[in-house]
Amino acid sequence: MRDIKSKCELELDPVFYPWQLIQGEGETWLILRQKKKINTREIKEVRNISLDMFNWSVPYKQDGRSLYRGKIKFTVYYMDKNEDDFNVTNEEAADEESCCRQLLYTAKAFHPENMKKRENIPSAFSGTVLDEIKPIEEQSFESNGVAAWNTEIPWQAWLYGEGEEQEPKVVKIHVGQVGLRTILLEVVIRLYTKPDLRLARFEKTKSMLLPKEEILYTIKEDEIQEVIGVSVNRAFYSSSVDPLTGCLSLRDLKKTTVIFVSAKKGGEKIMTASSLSNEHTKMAGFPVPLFPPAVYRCLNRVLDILKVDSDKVLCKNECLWSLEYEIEDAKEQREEKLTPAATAGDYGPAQVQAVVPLRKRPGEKWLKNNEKRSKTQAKTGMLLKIVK
Amino acid sequence: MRSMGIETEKVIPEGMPAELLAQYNINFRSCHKQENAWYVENEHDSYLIYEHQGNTEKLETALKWQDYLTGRGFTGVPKVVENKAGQLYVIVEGRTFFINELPSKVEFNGKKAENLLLAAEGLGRLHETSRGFYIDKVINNKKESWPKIFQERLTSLLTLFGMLKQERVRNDFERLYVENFDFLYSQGQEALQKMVMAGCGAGHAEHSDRTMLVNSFRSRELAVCDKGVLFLNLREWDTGSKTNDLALFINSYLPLHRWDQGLLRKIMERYRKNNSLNTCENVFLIGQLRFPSRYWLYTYQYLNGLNSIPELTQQFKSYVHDCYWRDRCLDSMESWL
Repeated sequence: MRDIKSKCELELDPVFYPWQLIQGEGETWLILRQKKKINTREIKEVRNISLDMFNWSVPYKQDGRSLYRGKIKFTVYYMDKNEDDFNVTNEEAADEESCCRQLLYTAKAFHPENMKKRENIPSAFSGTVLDEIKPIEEQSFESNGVAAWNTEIPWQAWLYGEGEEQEPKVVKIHVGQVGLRTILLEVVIRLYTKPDLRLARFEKTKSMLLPKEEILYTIKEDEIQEVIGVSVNRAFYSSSVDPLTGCLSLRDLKKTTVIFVSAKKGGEKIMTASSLSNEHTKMAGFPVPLFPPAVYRCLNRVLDILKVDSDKVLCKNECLWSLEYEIEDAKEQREEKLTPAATAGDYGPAQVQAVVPLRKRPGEKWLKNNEKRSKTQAKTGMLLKIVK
Repeated sequence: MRSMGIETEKVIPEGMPAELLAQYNINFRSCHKQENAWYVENEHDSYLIYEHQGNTEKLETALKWQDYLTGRGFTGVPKVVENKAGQLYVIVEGRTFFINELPSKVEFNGKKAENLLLAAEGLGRLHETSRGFYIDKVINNKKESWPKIFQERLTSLLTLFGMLKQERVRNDFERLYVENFDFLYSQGQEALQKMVMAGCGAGHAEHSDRTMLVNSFRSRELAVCDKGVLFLNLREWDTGSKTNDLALFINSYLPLHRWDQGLLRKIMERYRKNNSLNTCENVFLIGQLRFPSRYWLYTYQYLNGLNSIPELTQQFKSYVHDCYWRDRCLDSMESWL
């Protein structure tokens, strides 16, 4: 197999509250976000966090998709500032008030277009990103006057894809202070299936494992501290027969999302960046029937993710396509009525085959350049070359 | 007005035009420069020779007002020294100068409650004494009323908030801005409500009793002498309701005392010793005190890149605390005012 290196620029996605879903093929990333204004004057520091509960159930499961539903419960421990800690007074209040008095009359009204460029400045507020939460001895906090914020977050998400379903996992937690008295909590939950090529649906249908590809993703407007995952989702499938090669040609819209921990200090740390692109795949060697596939399925498997720079991620993945020319249930119902001649031939036994990438046929370049030649002539020419 | 009969010294202080001293009869023993002024002393008296930048019409009114006040025995402003020709200010080499006679004084310290009480008493008397002073021409002809200005400024704050809600916040200033917007905006709305209640929109409290206003209470512009507090700078004058001055003074110095309710009450009592406020003015005052003016100021400075972001963030943080103390103090003030 040959590696294909390509580049892709990702744009930073907006941050959403209280949840953000990234649905991919065989995995779903769920980012839960909570901001809580504590009823205090100012938080001195966020001390720790404990995961008190994480449960889920699967109330619905059908047609290669499962609905997961659950609850997650945390306790965040923080310390308040005492009244004595507020010893900072603005000595220049009188100057500022006098200056303000003049400006209130004379200053022009604010228009966003006249605004100076907003600067990114590292935050003075603290925060922690955790992979897992270790149990805490609560008694040690109670004695030190540490207050606690309990939060229970319900969640729900679809998981699409074939394979052996795995237990949902909390893969990353970020807790930090984002203001004088605001605590931010971000949780990343991963739902995924273990891709299994031997699963019935892939075995019974025409499948094709495409060559592994390496893609270098560049993320704009942020810096990566750590990559959490890469999610790929495809939609709007269409197919045609390539007139030149006679092989099946697939087109779809591909959305790639990189989930990462931002290196920027302050605010939300769990970020996502995405790109939407048109994908064109030629399935060389794939038997082409006289009518298009009824169902398209794609199983994307991320093999390796590597952060190569503060804004670059190298991702190696492979993709298994599966096409159904007739829906299984419908096929069973009609089986008695159909003649054997109609079902044989086109629907052969399961094939999972790795193919070499499409290469140019001998003389193809020459044929393309010669626009005056007809298709019939081209075919004749190629035939002659092969005979040689 | 007072003409000086003092012999001119030959030594000219650095930066001062030679012709200037020739127009005054001032003899001095020592001299040193302070920003746009020279502090001059002789055996008996001290003077401040100011170089004025800006509008001379406004200066002329300020000096006339100052002269009017001292002429009526008000000791809270320094005496203006006339030149040999009896003018309150002179223009030499295209530069404008005037001289104030200073009594012996000490610096004004806003952290000392007694200084604030003296200033409040002096301000009350100043407003009262100024009643008879009418200016021929209003240079700073402001047509906008305070509620309209406040409404416009609140709209600006709301516009920025809407923008920040849609985008990722980029620094701690924006973080604090978003976090405290609800509270500070509601303070602004309450301020407006009070002003409307005071009837100022219809020209009541704001316009019915217009008086001359000091309009600036920087600590370097105040001094304490044996007769009370001196208001050294009247050049920022404005006209309007006396509550404008009172609100500015309280907003300038109460943060240094964490909006001490007892102190505020005493300040009001001392002001009322020489002046009185009617119900409308009381409500108008509370409205002015509540408006989050410095929230708007910091935002203005931030949007125009006029100050460093870490510095603005620190000031804003301190202001948020001020506002919580202020809110508590003003709630109580409404019950006793």
